Amino acid sequence: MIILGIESTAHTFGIGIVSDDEKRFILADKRAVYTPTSGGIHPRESSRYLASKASEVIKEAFEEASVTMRDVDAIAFSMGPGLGPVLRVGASIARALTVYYDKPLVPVNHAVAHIEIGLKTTGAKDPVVIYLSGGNSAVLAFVEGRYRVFGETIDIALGNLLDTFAREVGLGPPYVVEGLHVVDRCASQGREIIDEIPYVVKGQDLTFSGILTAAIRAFKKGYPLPDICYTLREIAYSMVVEVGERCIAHTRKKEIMIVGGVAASPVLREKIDKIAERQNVKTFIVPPKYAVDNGVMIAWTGLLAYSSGVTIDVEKSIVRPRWRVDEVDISWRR
Amino acid sequence: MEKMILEEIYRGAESIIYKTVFLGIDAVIKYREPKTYMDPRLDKNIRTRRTLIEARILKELREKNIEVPALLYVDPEEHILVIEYIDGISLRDYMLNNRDVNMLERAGEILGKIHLENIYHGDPTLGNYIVDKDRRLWIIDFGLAGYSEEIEEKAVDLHLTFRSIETLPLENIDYLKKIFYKGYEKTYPQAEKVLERAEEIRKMGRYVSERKLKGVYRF
Repeated sequence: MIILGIESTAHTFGIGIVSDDEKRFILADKRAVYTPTSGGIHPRESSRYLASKASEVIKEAFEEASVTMRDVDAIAFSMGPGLGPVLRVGASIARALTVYYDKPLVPVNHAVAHIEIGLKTTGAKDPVVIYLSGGNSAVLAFVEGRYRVFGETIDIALGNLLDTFAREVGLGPPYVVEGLHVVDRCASQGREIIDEIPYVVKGQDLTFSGILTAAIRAFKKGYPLPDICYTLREIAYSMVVEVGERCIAHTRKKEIMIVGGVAASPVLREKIDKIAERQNVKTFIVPPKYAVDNGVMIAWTGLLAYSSGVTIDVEKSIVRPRWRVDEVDISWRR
Repeated sequence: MEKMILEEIYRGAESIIYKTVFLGIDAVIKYREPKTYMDPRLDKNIRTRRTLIEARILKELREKNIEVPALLYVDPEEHILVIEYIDGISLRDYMLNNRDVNMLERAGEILGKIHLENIYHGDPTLGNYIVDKDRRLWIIDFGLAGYSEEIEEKAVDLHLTFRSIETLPLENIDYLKKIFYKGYEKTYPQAEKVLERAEEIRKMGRYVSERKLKGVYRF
């Protein structure tokens, strides 16, 4: 079986082609990434850029895979969550291909895809999942047929906190340089803990907006930037790790896995390793290439879903910008 | 002091709980272990703060005759509390075994009484209420609690409570939330405002499909 996957939720247009042949799992992995010259991602600008690159990326992917559209069994696409205009780029292309080539269409939840490619690439079986992408921060665990949200941010995402702070104090963009976030990099020069930056865990939920406000205020007061970065990073990562540990204690799972774009942070990994040791669980980190947005994760999750009978009619394939991960029945794990 | 016999009864992410007898009273020792993944200074700040706030609030609520176990001893430097032991089961387990909705209403009354003191709990899950042998209901675990006159923190409490009720594998979850709220409304006059704000918090949550709907907590 061969599945074409289309990722298009934020800043990446990705095409993945995967097969169920273990020896030739990934046939193609092509991407175009929108990088704003200043500020954050503007949904319209990103969607325009990705739309202009789409046909080229698709063409390259088929060349790399040495297959044609005829060989493809189904087309999977990220139906949500994500930025509306960007989601519609991927969805429009998926629908067009579906109709033109008469192939089944498979809806994929972007967050579920991050988890599934994580399981596939790390070999984890049933972990507590720390999900840290630009748009969301959550601690998840598979319970009764779904990836359930154990805890999540009730305001901004961790990635959002880091990027926004970097932008406000002039450390970025770009936000990630050589695989390390600029706040992480700056923090390595920091020594002091700044008391006025708050550590706030609410039950199992997290809140980062208070940290952002306090950190910017500390910057304006003239505290050394490395100390602010150090404190901010220590607090923000530790909060996530604390909730992760509570989830392990609560679910009694034996593995912990970090997925999403922020997963690459070596500092975060060190912290996770420490709770893993204390709670006697095994750590799994998704390789950076597949931790960020990509088409392979959509294709792979599409393959799992299609194999268990999941398809959607073109008429019903409306994108869902706020599609929650815990709304998706994981029919292939029954 | 006589020698204490310690029996570890719970090891969570936040603390270790030992059962013991303290000055002739059945008690638990709550010890907040160092968290090795954090900067030690930050870790110490957090553990001291949580130990102190828990002690302070237990004492205050007990004086106000609200259903919390008695505080017997506190050592903020060593991050240790000794608290009266309550022999019972969690409200969550109780609900699963008994389906006694009156107990849920009583939980709402307790949370309302706490909010009336301008105190919020910070982690009011059903696992943090205990039903004792005489079917009296108690609330425990104030490490994330605090003082606030604002609606905001109280609304987060209500939101977390509803989330906790939603994880019960029972039917009629909306009805159960309504029963809890009925109790809450009885003891906290500003309940309506808190409920409205709790709804907004719910809608703020990431990728909530209900955002477009009006009144997710309208019963």
